[in-house]
Order: sequence, then C-alpha cells, then structure tokens
Amino acid sequence: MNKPVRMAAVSFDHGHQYSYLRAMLRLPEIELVAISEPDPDERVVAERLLADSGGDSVRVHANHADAIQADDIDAVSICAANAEHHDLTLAAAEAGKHVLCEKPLAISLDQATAMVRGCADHGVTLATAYPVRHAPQVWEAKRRLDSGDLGPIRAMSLTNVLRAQPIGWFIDPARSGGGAIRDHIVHATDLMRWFIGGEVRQIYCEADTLARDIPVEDTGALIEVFDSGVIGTCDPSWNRPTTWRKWGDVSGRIVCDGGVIEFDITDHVIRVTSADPGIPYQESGFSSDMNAALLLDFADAVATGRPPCADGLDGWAGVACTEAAYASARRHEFVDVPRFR
Amino acid sequence: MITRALIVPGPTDQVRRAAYEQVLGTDRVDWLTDKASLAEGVAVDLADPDDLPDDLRERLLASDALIVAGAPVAGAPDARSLAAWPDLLAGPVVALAADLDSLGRRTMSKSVVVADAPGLGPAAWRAVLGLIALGGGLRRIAARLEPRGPGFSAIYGVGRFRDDSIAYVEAIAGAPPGAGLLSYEALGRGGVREFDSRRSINRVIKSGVETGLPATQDEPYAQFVASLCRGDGTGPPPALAPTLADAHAAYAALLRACESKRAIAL
Repeated sequence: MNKPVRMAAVSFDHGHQYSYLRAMLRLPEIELVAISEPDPDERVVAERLLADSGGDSVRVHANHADAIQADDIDAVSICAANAEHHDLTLAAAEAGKHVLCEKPLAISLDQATAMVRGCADHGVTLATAYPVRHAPQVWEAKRRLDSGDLGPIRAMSLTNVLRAQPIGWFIDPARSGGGAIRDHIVHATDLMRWFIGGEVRQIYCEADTLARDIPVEDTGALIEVFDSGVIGTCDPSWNRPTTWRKWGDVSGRIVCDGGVIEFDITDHVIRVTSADPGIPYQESGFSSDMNAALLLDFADAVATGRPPCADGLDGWAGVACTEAAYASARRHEFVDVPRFR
Repeated sequence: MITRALIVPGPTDQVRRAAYEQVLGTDRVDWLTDKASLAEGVAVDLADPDDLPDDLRERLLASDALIVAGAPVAGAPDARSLAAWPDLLAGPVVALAADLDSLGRRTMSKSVVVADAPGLGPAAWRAVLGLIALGGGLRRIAARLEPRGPGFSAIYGVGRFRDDSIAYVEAIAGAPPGAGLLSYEALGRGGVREFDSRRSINRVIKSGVETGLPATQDEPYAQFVASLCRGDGTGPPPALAPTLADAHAAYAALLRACESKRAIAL
C-alpha cells in the first residue's frame, strides 16, 4: 500500500463532510490530519464527531487557509457552500494540494473553468464528489452496461428527489447558486453521462418554487438529449412531503435493446415498524458506504497519479448542464449545452 | 348505437374481442376482413392506428363505421373515431384522481407508461390520459421522440399544467420483455399520491415472464366497451369528464412539440 494520503476536511457547510470524515477516519489509505470550520457551532459538532470516532489527534482550525496551507496536508475535501468552492479550490491548488470538491463544482461556468484550469496548471488532481457513482447498485449497473450484455442504451429516466426540507445556505441563492436544479441535476446527469459515455447536447427544463415559500426553485423536470440521440430525463425536485416514506432517492431506469436496469440506491432497506405510535415507520438501509468508496478512489488517484473516477471535467459538465437548464427554464425552449474548450 | 363490432388483429385483440362479446354477444363480434360491411352501427376496434395498412385506413375513414382505437386516429372525423379511455373507468388513475383536492397547491404530476408491445401511439395516449387526469389541462409542453420503428420507440414530455404545476410524461413501446411499467405520481403541498406497478406483488411469473393479476372484477376494457355500447356513456365519469378534451389537446401538442425547439403553448 502507498503511504496514506494526508487530508484536511475543509468546511462542514454541506453535511456530506460528516460522512466523508467518518470514512477518512476509517480508511487506512487516508490519514485525516486536520479539519477547518469557521462557524463555532458547526465546529463544535465536528469536534464532537472526531472525539466519538477516534479522531482526537486531528487538528482543528477555525480558518480554512490554515488547513489548506499546512505543510503536512496532501489533499483537501471541500464541502463549503457552493459559492465558495471556487476560491477554496484555487487556494488549495496554489498551495499544491489535491482537491476533492463537493458537487456542484461551481455556481457558474466561468468559475468551473477557472477551477479545472487552475488545478491543471498547478499539477494537482481535481476530483468532483459524485459519490453516487460509487453506490454498489450503480457501480454494478455501469459494469453491466459496459459489458454489453444488455445491448445499447435506448432510454434513461433518473430521479434524485428529496423531501421539501433543505434550509440554511442551501436556500440562499447567493451562497447556493440555486435550488433543486443546481443541487440535484448534477447527480442524475453525471450518471447518465457516465453510463452512456457521452455528453448532453441539449436540455429542456421546467423549474419553479412550488412546494414551499423559499427563495430558490424546489420543483423541476428535464429532458436531456445526448450526442448519440439517446434521450434521458431527470426529476431533481425537493418537493416530496416531509412525511414521505423516505428522505429522498437516487433512482434510475435504463432501457437497453436487450434488457432493463432499474436501481434505487435508497431501496435496499429493512422496514421497521414500532408498536409505539410515537415512533414513525422507518426504512433502514444496509448498502455499503458509497462515501468511503469515493474517498478510496480519490486517495488512490492522488497516490498513483491516475485520474479519479469523476474528475474536474465531469464536474464542469454538470455545471454546464445546470446553466443550460436554467436558461431553458427561462426561455421555455431546448438549449444547447456548452462544451469545455 | 353500436350493434356489431369488428376487431382488428393486434397485440391485445383477445382482450378487446372478449370485451365486445361480453356486451354484444359472440354472434355480433368478428375479426375485420376485407369484405366486412362498415355500415353505421359497426365499431371497428384496433389497438394501434399506426398498424393500419393504408388501403384499409382509407376505407375505414370513408365508411360510416365508428373507429375505436388505442390512440387518436390522425385524420379521422371526431364523430366517427374514439380514442379508448379504459383507464378513466377502473384502475390506479381513477383511484388517484379520487381525492386530489387533498393535495392542496399542486407541485407536479408524472405519468409513465412502458409497454413491451410495439406501437407508441397507445402507450403515449395512455400516458397522456393519466397525466391529464392527475394534473388537469396543460398550458405548455416540450417533447422529444425516439424514432418510431418496428421495435423500440419512446416519447418524453415536460411542461406546465394550467395551475402552473410541472408535468412529466413518458411513454415507451417495444421495451424488452418484462420491462412493462405503469407509474403515476401526483404531488402537492398537502401530500403525494403514487402508484408504481413494480411495487405490486400481484403477479404471475412463468418462465421468467411476469404478468399481473387484476385489481378489479371487470376488466377495464370491458367496462369501457360496456359504457360505449350501452350508448349512455360516451364519456368518462363526471369527475373525469374534462379529462378527455384536455387529453386530446395535450396529445396533439405533445406530438407537435417533438419537432419544435420551443415548448408548444396550448
């Protein structure tokens, strides 16, 4: 085994960082050296998790720059609010640190381009945190599709829906760059791009704020036309009731000439019903940890110099589709998706 | 008044023939042949209008017979053609539509029909019927079509209902065996109503091929034919009465939208 990649967890704005932190503490391929979180309340939560997870030796910074510039750090996991990904990624690249950046990569195409180029210019890896690729169901779906035993893909319908409950910076357009469209189409679109091995040519999108009175859109639906002519669709809504049977999903139906693949990464569950009327029905998942697999892939990419499973250009493509989707929602027409140049 | 039915052979011909025989009697139902009389009072029932050979299509359109089809028949006069609507009489669409008011302000409705039988028209009409029954009339729709062909074909639409909630419709025909699916979702601030045929354990599996078990005593198509032939039910139940006209408008717009960069306004 290579020497463990020494990492810092930068920002806990996005709750995924807590999942990544647990995985980093568990994986021998990674040494979690430091965390950084300016918000004192959030920092206390992170410190408590460290204490509970055997991370007592991990350094805690109140300032991201201290973690990013530390000499004993090889790479950073950035989970700040979307609008801060750009500055933090470029700061890390300039400090010679490899970057695993939470999705969406950025809130504008200009920012995403600067991040991809900045990391390339400084010779560091830029990975986009698309953990869903590493869900076992999705990984196996990709393997079966690549094997060709189902024949060519003819149609793809994906959902990445959520209960109507995002709060805080997620619904502050200045920090998030948008709502359900910004937050969720990147997962579904990335999976479709990955499965089919091609890019989205055109997008049609309807989006609106319908489920709650919040400043960003919470409901949407998209048609995505790929270069090959295959059509994919996506429901990225945050509009399921807070009482819905599960927190959300990432599901897909891939129709091929010789068969169909259907998955829902939240649907390998134990159903739990209590006799106590105060305890609601619950579904308890038992799939293996896609976040650990994501980090393992990133650590191996850093250690060996190979590209990560989802790199900066995959993140860039997600931003490009998001920008096209917003333009389509404004103009009520199919919009061409930009290409990286 | 329908006094005789002629069935055009096709994927669902046994179900369609049995439905007419139940209402009219076996002696008044036959297969459509070249020499059959197409007089007034005759219903010609077919699954997919696209399956009609050109000569038969012209003969039908020039006749006095009523064309009952699994999808709207292009070029047929309204008074002498009828796109079937059994889903508005029995099954999940009816059950879902029963208490939509409780959903409050609506956010989205989705309708998905995946059929392993070829013929996109019937799958698309069925999906549109379900969509409109759940969400009401459309304000605009954008769509794309996978090329029609002897095998796989598909149509996808995204748009807005008149109440501004978002519409999603998907129909696939010629899907691989076993991939058939009916899925409906109606969402609002007050809750969600969902049906997904994959979540039902009412099924028969033989040699790896799955068929469903019925949820109603009367086969929905038989109910539709009974309503049609009695002459007292040329439309769906009152609660779903506006659905048919809106569905026809939506279906036409959906097809037009496939050729358009911009969404089609209704």
